[in-house]
Amino acid sequence: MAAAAAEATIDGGGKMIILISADGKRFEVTEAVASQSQLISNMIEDDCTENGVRLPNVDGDILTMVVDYCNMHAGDAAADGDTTKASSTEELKKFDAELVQALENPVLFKLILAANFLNIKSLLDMTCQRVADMMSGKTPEQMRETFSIENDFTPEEEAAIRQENAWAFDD
Amino acid sequence: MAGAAAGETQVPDDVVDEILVRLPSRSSLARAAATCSAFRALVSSPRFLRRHRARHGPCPGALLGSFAFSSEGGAFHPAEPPHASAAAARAVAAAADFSFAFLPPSPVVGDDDPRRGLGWIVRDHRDGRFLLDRVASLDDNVFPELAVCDPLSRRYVVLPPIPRELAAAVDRPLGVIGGRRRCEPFLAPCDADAESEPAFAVIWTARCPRKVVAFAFASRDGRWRALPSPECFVWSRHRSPFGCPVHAVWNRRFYAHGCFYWLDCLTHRWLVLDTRAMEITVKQIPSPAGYWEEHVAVVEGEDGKVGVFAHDFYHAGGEACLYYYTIVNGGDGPRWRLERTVPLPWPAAHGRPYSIRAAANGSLILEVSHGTPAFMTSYRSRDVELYRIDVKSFELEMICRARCAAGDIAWAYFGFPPLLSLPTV
Repeated sequence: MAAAAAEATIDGGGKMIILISADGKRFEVTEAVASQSQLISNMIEDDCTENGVRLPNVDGDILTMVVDYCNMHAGDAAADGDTTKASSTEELKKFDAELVQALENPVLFKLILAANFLNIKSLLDMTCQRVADMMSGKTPEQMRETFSIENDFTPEEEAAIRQENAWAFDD
Repeated sequence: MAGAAAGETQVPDDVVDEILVRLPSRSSLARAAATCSAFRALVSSPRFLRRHRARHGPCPGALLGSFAFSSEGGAFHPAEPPHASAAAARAVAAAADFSFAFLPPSPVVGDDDPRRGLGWIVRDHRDGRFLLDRVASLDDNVFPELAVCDPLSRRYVVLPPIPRELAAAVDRPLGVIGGRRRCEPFLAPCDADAESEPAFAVIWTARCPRKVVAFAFASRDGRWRALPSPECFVWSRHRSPFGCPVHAVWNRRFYAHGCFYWLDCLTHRWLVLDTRAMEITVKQIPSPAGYWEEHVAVVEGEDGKVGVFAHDFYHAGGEACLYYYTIVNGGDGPRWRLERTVPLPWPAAHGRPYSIRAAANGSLILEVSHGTPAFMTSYRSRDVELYRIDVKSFELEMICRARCAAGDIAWAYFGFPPLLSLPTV
């Protein structure tokens, strides 16, 4: 992580801010990187990032991933006519694909919650899509099992729902 | 996850919403709705369904049965067990008003009153919408009043009349559906990119002696416009040795991948209405055998291909089969290419017990009436079995048994159970 933060400094993305995870880990990132989070972007505008941004519901492990993601995508968001853009688009795609493929429950959901809390749209998009992809071919039972969803239907309701949705079970 | 947990992590509702809206099809939505009550409530809300449709585009749904219309009125023949759609179809049958009693009322008259026949007639069905028309008097049957409606939500829209300056192009149009009308209006597919208002399009066509006249109505702007069509187009005479009437060509319309097709098997002419270019052309596509129009159906083939199901008039040796062709473009223009021969399980030694009833979305619906040969049977009421065969599996699947009324016109009914249905009008 230190490496990623250092890289960001070299990029010269302006002022640095400190993000502090729930378990007290500190991440130093440029404002440009951090602003991909709408939440932090708003905080920067309101000038309340002086003493570091505490993120009480994001673990260090998850915040590491979020910061990695934001570092990778910082140039992307700036869209400043960078000539190396074409190759970096390829790299970004690869990075995103690898990140999202490696994710499983429960880390995937923690990342989704972090993306949701921090309001990072592209990361939320990507992670929600990953869950949808994981769900799409599954039966209701498999969905419940994979995502620990509690079945709160009565047996009668369940039977009725199964029948009513039988058309949806053969693809 | 809204009453459910993903691992030990509680996921807020708006995130669940974001996940489920990304499910690729409404069948995966239906399965998600069957996991827990919170998902079910979310997935069946119109707001969610609209978002899903806006994101993934329209989806025809599952084959739930067949809808038919005759002088006796509308009849929905829902899929029956063990068909997978049986329960969904039953739910549709219970929830929908296929008598269309929610439309503006027509004069109620006795059986022998000459004004009988002034009621609404179903002219088309597509994507949960129905197009009906009615005339003010039996002679005034070129420009009937048109209504698009949704029998599930019981909503309807009466279309504005075709403007006088457009209507002036219509000259001595020919009759269809037994002369009761002299126009063929139908529903065009419509991409539902709007999240709020369901959009639809209606095309009105008439065969004039030298020309096909066509107008298109778009609900988006509420306007009618004319479609260009070729001159010198004569498809008027009864032209088969059996007196096969023109309605074999007219009012037998197929849709595949953006185009409507009317086939004239005798002259190998296909009338093509391209809904993207919004124009009509005539194509010459020589058929490989002397098929009759009644024995041919154009379907949406795989990979954007135009497919054709066809069967013979007479099956030598009683070996009944169905042929599947695709239309391919060779050096000297388009031609039929035989892709597959599907044997049919019904003996056809003494007459053919099956006939093509409808086609939609790559599926063909066959009507099988045991005991009586199918030749000309559509002119009387009959008990039949309905089967489906599609361009993916090529396997026959029984849909249901049905009592078909004399002279009925049938459609394949694709849709969703009421829970996952959105108002289409």
